[in-house]
This record gives sequence, C-alpha cells and structure tokens, in this order.
Amino acid sequence: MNEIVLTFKKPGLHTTVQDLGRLGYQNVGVPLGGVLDRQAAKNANYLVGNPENTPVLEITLIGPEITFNTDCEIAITGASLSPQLNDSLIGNHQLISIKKNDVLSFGKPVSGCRAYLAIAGEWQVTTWLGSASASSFSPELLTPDSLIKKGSTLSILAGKSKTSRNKINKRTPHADILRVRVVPGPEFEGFSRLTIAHFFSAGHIITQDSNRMGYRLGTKLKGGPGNYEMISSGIIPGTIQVTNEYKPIILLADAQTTGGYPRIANVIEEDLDSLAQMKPGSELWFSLA
Amino acid sequence: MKLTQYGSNSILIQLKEVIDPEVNETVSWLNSKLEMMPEIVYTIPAYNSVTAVFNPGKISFDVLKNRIKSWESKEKKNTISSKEQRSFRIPVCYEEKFAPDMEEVCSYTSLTSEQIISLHTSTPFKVYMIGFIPGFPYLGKLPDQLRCKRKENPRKQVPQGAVGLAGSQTGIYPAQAPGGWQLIGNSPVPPLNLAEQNPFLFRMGDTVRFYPISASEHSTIATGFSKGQITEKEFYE
Repeated sequence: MNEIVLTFKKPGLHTTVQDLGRLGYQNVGVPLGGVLDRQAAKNANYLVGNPENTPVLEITLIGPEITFNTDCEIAITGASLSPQLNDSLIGNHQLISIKKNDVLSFGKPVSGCRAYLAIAGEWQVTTWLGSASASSFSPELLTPDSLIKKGSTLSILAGKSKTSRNKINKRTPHADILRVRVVPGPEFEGFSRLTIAHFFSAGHIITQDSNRMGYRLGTKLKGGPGNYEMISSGIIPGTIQVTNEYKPIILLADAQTTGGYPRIANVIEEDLDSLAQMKPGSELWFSLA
Repeated sequence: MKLTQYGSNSILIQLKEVIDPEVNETVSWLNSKLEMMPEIVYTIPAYNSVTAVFNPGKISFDVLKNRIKSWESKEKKNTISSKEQRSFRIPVCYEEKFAPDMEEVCSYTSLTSEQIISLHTSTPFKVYMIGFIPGFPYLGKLPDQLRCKRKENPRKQVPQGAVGLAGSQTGIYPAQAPGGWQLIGNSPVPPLNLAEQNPFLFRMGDTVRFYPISASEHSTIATGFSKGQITEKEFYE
C-alpha cells in the first residue's frame, strides 16, 4: 500500500488529530475527547470514503500549512478557513485530489471555528484506550502524534476505497449570534428566579478563555449563588455549570468527568455541533427545548 | 433514589445527598448493573450519583428509568462479590520535601505532624470515586480532626504522586496537574501506570491503607517502578 506522509510547515493555532472519542473510560476519570463538531467530521470522512470513526484533523481558526509527499484524496468540512491548494482557493465539502508535493494552507477565517480535514486511508497514529484523539491530559506521553507542532509528520496508508462521494446533505450552520436549546440541569431548581430569568433573557459572550474543555461565558448572573454545597457528580458534553463567581461554563468533550459546581442546564445533543462552531467573542442565547 | 433526565441521552441517578460508605456502595452496585447493559454507552459513578449515557436508538429514557426502578424493588445490593473488593497498602513519604503544606495543616488542625501522620496511616480509606484526572482516587473519609480547607490559591503544578487533603477527603495525584489540595506527602506507587495493560490502579470500592516510608525507600520504590522491577501487585493486601 502507498504511504502518504503529511509534513506540517506551520502547525496552525490549535490543530489536533481527533476521532469520535474515548468512550467507556469515564468511570475512571478519562475525558471523552473527540471531534467537537461531529456532523462535520463525519461528513469529511464520508466524502473520502472512510469509516466514520477514522481520525481527522481538527483545525481551529488559523490553519496549518501541509506538504504532501504523494497523491491522495482529501476533503475539508466545517469552518470556512479559506483553504488554498498551492495558493489557489479551494472549497469545503468536496472531494479534492492532491498531487505529489502539493501544499495545502489556510487563510482568513470566514465563518465557523473548527474545520475538519479527512484523508482517505488508514491513519498510522498512536491510540490510547482505543482512540487517536489528542488527550487533554499528558498528550505528549499518551497521544504524541495527535498534537500537531511545527515539523510534525503524519503517516496514512492509502486505501483502495473507490466509494468516495461528492455530496453531503447535512451541514452544521455557522453563526456569530446563536440560540441554543437547553433542558433544565440537575440543580436547576436550586437557582433563584432572578438567576434563571437572567440566564434566559440575555445574550452571553463566549470569552477568550475558552477551549476544548469548555466555553466560559462572560455574564455574571444576577441573584447570587445558591446556599448549598454540592457533592461532585458527573459531567457530560453540553452541561452548563455556574461557578462560584456566578458565571456559566459550557463543558465540552475535553472537560473532566466530574465537577462540583451546580448544573443549571444542558445544551441538547442536536445543538452541540453548531455550538462547537462558535468563536470566542460571539454571542449565545438560551431557550428551553 | 431520584431518577432524572440529564441532557438529551443520559439519566442521572441521585441518592441521598451525603458522603457515606453505604450510599456509595449502592452507587457501585447500580453502576455495575448499568455497565452490563448493551444500551449504555458509558457511566460516571460518583459519591452519591451515577450518570449513565444511553444509546437512544436502543432504549428510551422512560424504559431505562423503569428498569432501574425495578432493580430497586426486587434486588438487594449484595450482588457485589467479595472478589471485587480489593485492599491496598500504599507507602507514603511524609518527609518535609514531599509535604509543603504540613505546617499549614498543623496550624489549621492544631495537631503535630506526628499526629497527622499517625491519623492518616491508621485510618482505612475507601475509594469513593475516580475523577478530576484519569485515575485520581477520591478517598474518604478523613477522621474529623484531620479535616481541612483547600488552599486559598491552588498550585499551578502539583507533582505526580502528591498525597493531599481537602475537606473530608484525601487523594493521590496520578500525574502532574494543577490543584488546591493540602499536600502532606508523596507516594511512589503510580495510580496511573502506562506500562500496564490496565493502567488504572484503583477502582471504586477499593480499600486503601497508607504506611509511612523514608525518602530513600520512596526513591527505591519509584526507581523499581520506572525500571519495571516492581508492579502494583506488591501493594495488594
């Protein structure tokens, strides 16, 4: 089989290898991990004819510069980050044929926060507990290939798949102001009416201090903390905790598995992908599902 | 037992709002039953709760809820076999270089460091849950005299193996991480050992007893682990 080698001349802002996550080890404190916009990542693998749990590159706002050693097939989905092949702009959501020595780079972020790059074939990357997703904890030790740095290389064995497609139906919407649907969280009843009213009646800005573990929102909720101390309990992607400073945090795939802050609400599964495409500085509104 | 929908595809089972060994055993029992169900994707057992994420293509919230309720009425929770109950004796070096917060704990508890070490090594602890970072055991409960507050300013880096106190809990850091626990010692036995096929030393429900060692013994055991000459089996009781 033909070995494809990608060499990263520039790593980009935060580029990681991700698949659909590390399921089943949350009972021993292992974060779920995995792509944040699952639909976009699945679309990318679908276009190149890979099984849906094949690793992809998750590219955040500023993309990498990649040189290919040989011909291969790729697809980019998710955020529009002005991808260019040898300095000519190319589009998202289509199968692209790469030739030997081609250079893929990215330019201005146009919409969305995370782009996904799929490459047809079998990715030769270290896995930990069954997943290639970059570990949020000790990544250098556990998943050394999955944290892209300047000079990193990735190896992929080209498959014989001829089942690549050129059409996808479902795309994650991108927005700078978004309304996401939530269901009440386990401690919802413990919050005052004033706090709940404020939570649902204001736009919340996603702060710069946000990452794959969670989005910290800038709003200081009215009403003050409830008067009970919580015993640590489970966290899932989409859980919205309210900290001691009375600011909401939306937890994402790399969050720790348990937490001790009261959980006011949970973003519903269907809205997690569009949430993942929100950039720091953009505005979120919540409504009850 | 309170069963509520949590997010889109998950159920949260909440038991009595206390840190209590019996309540936690019920958590273990419920968790082991849930883990055996093919409809369950993953679970997060905690002190007094279990979060179970299910596959909505295979089971609905209501069916799952009713099934869990039926266990409660039909079965006693003595299904955890004794072979799953494991005990560990874990060495800890309490010497000054590993115990940066010993003085603070002494002044907070009005105990001497000898009394603190004696209380910490004479109490059998239970692993109530694993969380925070992979393999971190939440151990409890501390004797009342040993209870202490977390640090006002959490450390950016707590070293691997650090043994800390927080509230009525004690724990061992499996890897370097930020943290606000009061550090009174360090264990050379790694709770997360990547050389092992199952890298996680502790399971919920295990019993842990500590015993004091010198800095030179600490270094001998740590070297033994890094060379693969010692395994965690030597610390089973």
